[in-house]
Amino acid sequence: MKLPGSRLRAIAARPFAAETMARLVDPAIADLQAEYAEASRRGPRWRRTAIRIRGLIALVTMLAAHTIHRVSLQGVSLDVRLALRLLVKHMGLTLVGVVAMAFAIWCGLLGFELYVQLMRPTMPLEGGDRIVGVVMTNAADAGEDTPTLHDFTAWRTALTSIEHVAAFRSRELNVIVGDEAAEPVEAAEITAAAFQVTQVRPVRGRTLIEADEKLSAPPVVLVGEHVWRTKFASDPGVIGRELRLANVAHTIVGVMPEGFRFPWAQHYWVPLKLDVVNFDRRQSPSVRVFGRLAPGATLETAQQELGVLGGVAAAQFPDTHTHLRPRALPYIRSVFGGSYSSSSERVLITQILGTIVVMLLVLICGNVALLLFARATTRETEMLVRAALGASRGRIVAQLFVEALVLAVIAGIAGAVAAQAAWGYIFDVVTFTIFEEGPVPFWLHRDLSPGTIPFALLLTPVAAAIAGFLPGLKVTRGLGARLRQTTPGGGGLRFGGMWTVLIVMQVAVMVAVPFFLHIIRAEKARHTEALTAGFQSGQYLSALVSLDWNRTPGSTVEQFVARLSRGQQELERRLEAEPGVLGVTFADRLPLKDITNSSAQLDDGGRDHWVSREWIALDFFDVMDAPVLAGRRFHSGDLLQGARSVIVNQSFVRLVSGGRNPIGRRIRYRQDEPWYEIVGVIEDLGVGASEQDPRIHHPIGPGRSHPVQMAILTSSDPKLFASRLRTIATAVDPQLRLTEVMPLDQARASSFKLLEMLFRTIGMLAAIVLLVSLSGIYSVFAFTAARRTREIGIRMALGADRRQIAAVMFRRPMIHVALGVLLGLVVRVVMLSDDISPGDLARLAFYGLVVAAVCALATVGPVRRALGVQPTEALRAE
Amino acid sequence: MTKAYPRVLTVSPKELLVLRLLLREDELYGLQLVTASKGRLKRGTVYVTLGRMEDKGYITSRAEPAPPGAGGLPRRLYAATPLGRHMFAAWTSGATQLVPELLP
Repeated sequence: MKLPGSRLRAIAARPFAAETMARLVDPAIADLQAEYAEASRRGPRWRRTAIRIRGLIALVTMLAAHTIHRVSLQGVSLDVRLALRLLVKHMGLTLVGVVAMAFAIWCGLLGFELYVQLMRPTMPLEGGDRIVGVVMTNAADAGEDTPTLHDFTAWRTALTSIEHVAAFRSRELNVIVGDEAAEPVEAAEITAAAFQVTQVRPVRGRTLIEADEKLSAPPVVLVGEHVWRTKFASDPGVIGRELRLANVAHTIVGVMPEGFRFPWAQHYWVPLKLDVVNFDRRQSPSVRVFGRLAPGATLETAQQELGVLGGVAAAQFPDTHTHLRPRALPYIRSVFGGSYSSSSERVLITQILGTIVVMLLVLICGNVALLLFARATTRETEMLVRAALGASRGRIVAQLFVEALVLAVIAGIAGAVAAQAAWGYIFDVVTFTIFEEGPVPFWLHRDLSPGTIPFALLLTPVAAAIAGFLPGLKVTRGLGARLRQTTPGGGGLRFGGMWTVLIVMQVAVMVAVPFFLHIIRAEKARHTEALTAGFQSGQYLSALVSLDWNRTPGSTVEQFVARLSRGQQELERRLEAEPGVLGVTFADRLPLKDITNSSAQLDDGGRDHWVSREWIALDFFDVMDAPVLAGRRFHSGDLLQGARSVIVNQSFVRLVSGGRNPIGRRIRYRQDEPWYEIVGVIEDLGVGASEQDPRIHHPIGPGRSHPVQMAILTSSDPKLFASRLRTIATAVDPQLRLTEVMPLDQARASSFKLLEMLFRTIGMLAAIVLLVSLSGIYSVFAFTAARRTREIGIRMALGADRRQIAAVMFRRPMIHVALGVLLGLVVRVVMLSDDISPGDLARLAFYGLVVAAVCALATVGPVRRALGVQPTEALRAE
Repeated sequence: MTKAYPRVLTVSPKELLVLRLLLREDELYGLQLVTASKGRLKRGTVYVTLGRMEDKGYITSRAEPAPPGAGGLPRRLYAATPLGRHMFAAWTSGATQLVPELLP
């Protein structure tokens, strides 16, 4: 039997002294355990659970009270002590207030972290802010371009404000270590100067040197610590060992330290072996250029120098450089261009983020202010007495501010801890949104930035000011007049228009928030539906097949296509010979994966329609087990020169040909191109019943699409076949690269994942908004009922009917709720303006009713209490 | 220079209640005190009160040896000290404060 309190004891043992543990905690836990053991012997299960919960709450309360007592002994001011006591006394309010403010601060911190990492990223390298990149801007179209090898060569010798001018280009290659299957990786072809720019030393061996860049130099590679650890088991003798990149043996010359993934997320670095003499200026390969600002130089001086060089190049090479202007940028912006946008866009994004954070802070802290105001009104007598004893209004407001500050400090700590815990998750969402499955740049990190904690320290007093000053000012207004009337508790205080607006807005938010959840849920359902639509997607393994392309001088596209075609056919042949493989097919896109939309026109002269285009292998529908509903399948004749046959799906028939048989009809995408003839109709594949997706399938032969998607139908779990697939592909051609190897039903996992994350985030947001709103509404209504005690007593004494009184009590809250529901409905109707179905309206009405019912429930308690008041008690209250 | 005052013993209503209950029974657990007080002592505060009373010397406590085979921590039993008895007697006779140096 697991006794309660053991874990709490272990947690408490860290911050509390041994004496405290022996005298307070241990006796309490011992009693709790004895009571629990006794209940286990005799009592029912629910009783044991109740004992456990009650005991643990008592323990936590005791530790909190003890801590407050200890703090108060350490000379903390009277206001703080009073605030701490009030926190314990009004535990419910404390919990709601802390959760709400912590949430607001949490949002603020995450917003700040997003801004810091995405909008103002810093290079985690020594003097990283002095690393700059050089890009080309085209004055003709204001576009950004990468420089060429010729530009790099010219700048390397001429630039003085940028030293160690280096270049790189990213290559997707297959890496093979020993007898393992090939693995696709992103390597950097980079010049030796790069390592002088980054100033990072290898942990083993050496970095690349200029001699490695000669075409005649033996192939060498520098690997990252991660590769050394995972592929070579941290072998101390790794220097001199070999691995194959693009099927060429490379000797390892060094290991770079953990975390070094320059230029952005690379683990392999090979020398950039491009000699300018081998290329014509017009066909010069693109490279990315970067360097380190020379001592004393700035981005502006570098820009001036580049401007001069750009002018010289434009004069020398007018055919290629007339409109090109070199531009120096901070390195990260030079690499990611649009992602790390211009300063005006940064200002805009900052303003948007800032507005969201401030609005959240104001809204949530406004709610907390409502709660604190309701609490403050119950202490009106205390404030009047303090005022009578000489306390100024400022002094009393300051005390209420301190109370809010104490609450905000606890919330700030909770918010910061929660932000640290949640940042990993948010980081995944954001990086997934930006980079999808691709590698994440090394300057983005899963820990909060050092500047975030000071920001939390700034947010805390702001939250306290919003939550503390407003109720403070409101509750102390007219204090002197009330004092003169000598009617403490007589109700000089009233909720004003501001609070009414706040309540109405809260109800509106409560109605509007489930709308977002509904939209996301519907989207999720659509995706799930599509997964099972038309074929057994769980039985297919999908992969993106591509081929390393060594763009060496003299190599032609025809050679590449022939090699890809051979590789593709051989791969298909070998795979089909494997036991457990029922079929293999290719397409430029597979069902459930991303689609491309085109505008198409049928030969009836009607309007253009948006359709999806897919290029598929001849056996595609056989492997996908998709029956032909009309016409025929593709055959080899459809691949002949001049053949223009297409097959359409059911959605096409419904939406484009108006339900009529489309066989024999013609379609085209542009006015100036020949018609395609529709020869067959196939059922929808990967299209949910609730959506329409007209598709046109074109036939395609091997090697004609690069990269190409492959689908393998297996008789067992397709995941199990993934490693075998890699082995076979490596045997067919070591330069055949397989990426995105996954069961086809996971192909939508990316968009699914994002939806799931969005759903969870908005769900959590909605829950907290609802919690805070309900508590705010409850306290206001409870306050209103309490303030009307005397009125109710008199009404009862005069013989008023209980129902009449209940109606009077409910009227005002219900008007607020009705206004809020109405506003929420208006917001939602405006948002649904595109397409409002009867179902949407029914849902809107339902949400409105639910919110009204919840708000009515919140008023039941206060109203019942008010009805229970005896007339004599009500009059005595005065 | 700080003036030295004699230590003044005080008793709060809760402490008085604990003393009353402990004088009725010889020894009680914290939880038994909560039950016997009929809700006037709370689970969350009784141990803080007992700790403070031990500091003041009104009560004493001992760890109860655990019965064979029982899991969990040993329970603590509380009993009133002679000072606690004096305090209770003085309170019930009308005094509200006692100077320990004057006690027999």
